[in-house]
Amino acid sequence: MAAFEQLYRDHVGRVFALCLRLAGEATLAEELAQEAFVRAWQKLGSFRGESAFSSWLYSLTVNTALSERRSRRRRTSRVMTTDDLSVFDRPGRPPRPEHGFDLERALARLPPGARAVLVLHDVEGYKHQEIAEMTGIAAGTSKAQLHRARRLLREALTR
Amino acid sequence: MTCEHLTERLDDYLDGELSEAEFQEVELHLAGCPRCREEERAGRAVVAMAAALPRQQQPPRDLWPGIAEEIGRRRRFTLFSSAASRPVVWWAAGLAAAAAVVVAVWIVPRGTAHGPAVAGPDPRTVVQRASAGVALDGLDEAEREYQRATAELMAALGTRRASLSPETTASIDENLRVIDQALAEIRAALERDPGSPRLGRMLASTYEKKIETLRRVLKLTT
Repeated sequence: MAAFEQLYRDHVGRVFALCLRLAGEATLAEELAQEAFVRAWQKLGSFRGESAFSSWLYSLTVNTALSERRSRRRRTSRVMTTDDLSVFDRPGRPPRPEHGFDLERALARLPPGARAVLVLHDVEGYKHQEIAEMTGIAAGTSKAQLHRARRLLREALTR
Repeated sequence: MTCEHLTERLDDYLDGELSEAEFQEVELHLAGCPRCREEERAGRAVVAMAAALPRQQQPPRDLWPGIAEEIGRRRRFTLFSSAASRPVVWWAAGLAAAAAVVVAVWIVPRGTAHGPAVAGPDPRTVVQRASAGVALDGLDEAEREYQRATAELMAALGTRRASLSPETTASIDENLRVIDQALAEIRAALERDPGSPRLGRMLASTYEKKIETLRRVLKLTT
């Protein structure tokens, strides 16, 4: 357990950041990050070492976050939005006066599907085919969601 | 190329996924269209800002205590739920696996001379699998030994109940109830068919699982 706690300490920053961007909400992001680590512990036996542990963990985190979003959507059948965007304000994070635009806040306001694809593609660097395999959507749908997300962000940027 | 067409191709242009011909077509349009140039500039800025976002952010609080607690809870749940489901499986498997040969060796460690209550009798010394026939002699005596062994373990568990959460206690009780119900059903079947080697094996195996379950619960509480 001590070894797994060390893995948690090493990776929690990246896992939480990913959950926060996918969830768009801090409390849910904490729950998702916690669930991702619990699932990782449960599935450690299936980690074959064919990829880096971090890649395996982040992929599992994405799956956890998206499956939770799907199950919540089934339960509530409403779009989840966030009211408290202060969670994206990090101590020490410099403002972006060059744009007068806070991308984190704009991201949090995107529709969940478009936000997820943009985070995975543009922030995390996954390709559409990888996103498709990870999320269960078609690669073409991933491209369409990215197109939608970028268009909404461009509009927000130029507003 | 129209402005609408450019908007459709903008992502591929920014991601460098256009063919050379398409790329040149977009460049040509951008050179002559201020509105699309603005669109392209904004798009490039969005992609650049997204790529520059920090990949790490520490949560507002340490999540580890909650993770450790949840892992412990699921460990217990796995243990208990598997114990709860097994009697049914044993029953079905026992009926199906007519070819399985199990010799019941009615030897159970006696008393506390064999170590602390947590250790309990080792089920492997109670039922040994071998390729011989089935010995049912002394089944009643063996059952008494099983009952004595489980009583010892239950007594040990009783002293530790106060340290368990109500949910855990309820889960343990429910699983023991399921096992006891399976034992009662097998016993009733044995009364109708006293000479059945298969039922004798099932009875021994179910007691073995009860003892194993109790030992694992006690280990978790120490």
